[in-house]
Amino acid sequence: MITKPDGNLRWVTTFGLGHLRPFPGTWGSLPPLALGLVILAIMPDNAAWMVLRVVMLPVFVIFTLACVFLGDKAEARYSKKDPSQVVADETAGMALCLMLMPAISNGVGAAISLVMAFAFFRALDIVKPWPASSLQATPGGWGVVLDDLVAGFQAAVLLWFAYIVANLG
Amino acid sequence: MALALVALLALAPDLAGRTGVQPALLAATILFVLAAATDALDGYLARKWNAVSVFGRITDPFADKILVLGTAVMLATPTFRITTDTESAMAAGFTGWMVVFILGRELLVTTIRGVFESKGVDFSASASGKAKMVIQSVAIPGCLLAAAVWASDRPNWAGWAVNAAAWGTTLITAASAVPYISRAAKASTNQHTQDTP
Repeated sequence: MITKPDGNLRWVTTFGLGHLRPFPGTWGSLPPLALGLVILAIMPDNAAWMVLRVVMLPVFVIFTLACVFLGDKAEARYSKKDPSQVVADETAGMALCLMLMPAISNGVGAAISLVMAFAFFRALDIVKPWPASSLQATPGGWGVVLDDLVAGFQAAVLLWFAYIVANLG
Repeated sequence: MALALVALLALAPDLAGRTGVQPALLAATILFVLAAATDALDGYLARKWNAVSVFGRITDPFADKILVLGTAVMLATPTFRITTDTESAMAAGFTGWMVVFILGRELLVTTIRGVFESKGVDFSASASGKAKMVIQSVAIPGCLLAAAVWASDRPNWAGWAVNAAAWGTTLITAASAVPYISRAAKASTNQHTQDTP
């Protein structure tokens, strides 16, 4: 159930998605994916990826800044370091991944590539390979968001690597 | 079910030069999904009904390993090599070295858990282990399905997708061992400190 978060904290819970159970982080990663799928569905092929990247940029910036500036307040409100209700970091990380990933042109293929980006981002965000694991110790709002941005970057690198390997054939 | 799946893959004809839907591989994909679903369900029901047994604790991970590793090994065999005018690649993306990585991770973590649990240290599955299991359970049948649907005649994006799935599964599987190694190192240091007078 979505409960009403107080004041500005609705930004760090991605408008209440952080209160959903189970897997709040997965719920928090869904808005960029849903937005991306809608863009790919309604935009013509030649513009879809450019529009997607342009739309993801403010999503990435806004939710990153929300974590940085409201992270301390959220940790105080929920009495915990990196509380599970804060999912703006997942929203920002997923948006970063979609912004950086390779463009797959075919309609079905493009949709599948977005879903794969989502799966890899979530897995990398949970497994937290270095340096994400050590960045969690960063104090304040940066500590909340940096590991997720690294996971988003790592997922995009992984997808680019597969793209290059596939094209080398 | 897992053994039947491996047998089905072992008997499947070579994909080189074949096009279109491959019924044996389609059946194997369905078997994988059924086996993974029943594997998850029986563990859940055993815990819910408080029916955890020694037999179950041995056979459940065994069936799980045969399902994932058996399928990954079969996907890396020459049966799944496709050669077209434009490419020579593995239809399901998995190659021998990737399977060695996945197998190595499983053996390492199983050994670590065995050693420390025998000393009374709790070494239950971590979140990274569960995330790895979810990725494997989605990516492996996904790659198998791609090989079943297109064989040698796959579109470019499908080639990219199976490569991404195979590489992603391999790297995430390898990375998921790190938390276990850290926990083992910590437990080992603690034990050493306690043993030292």
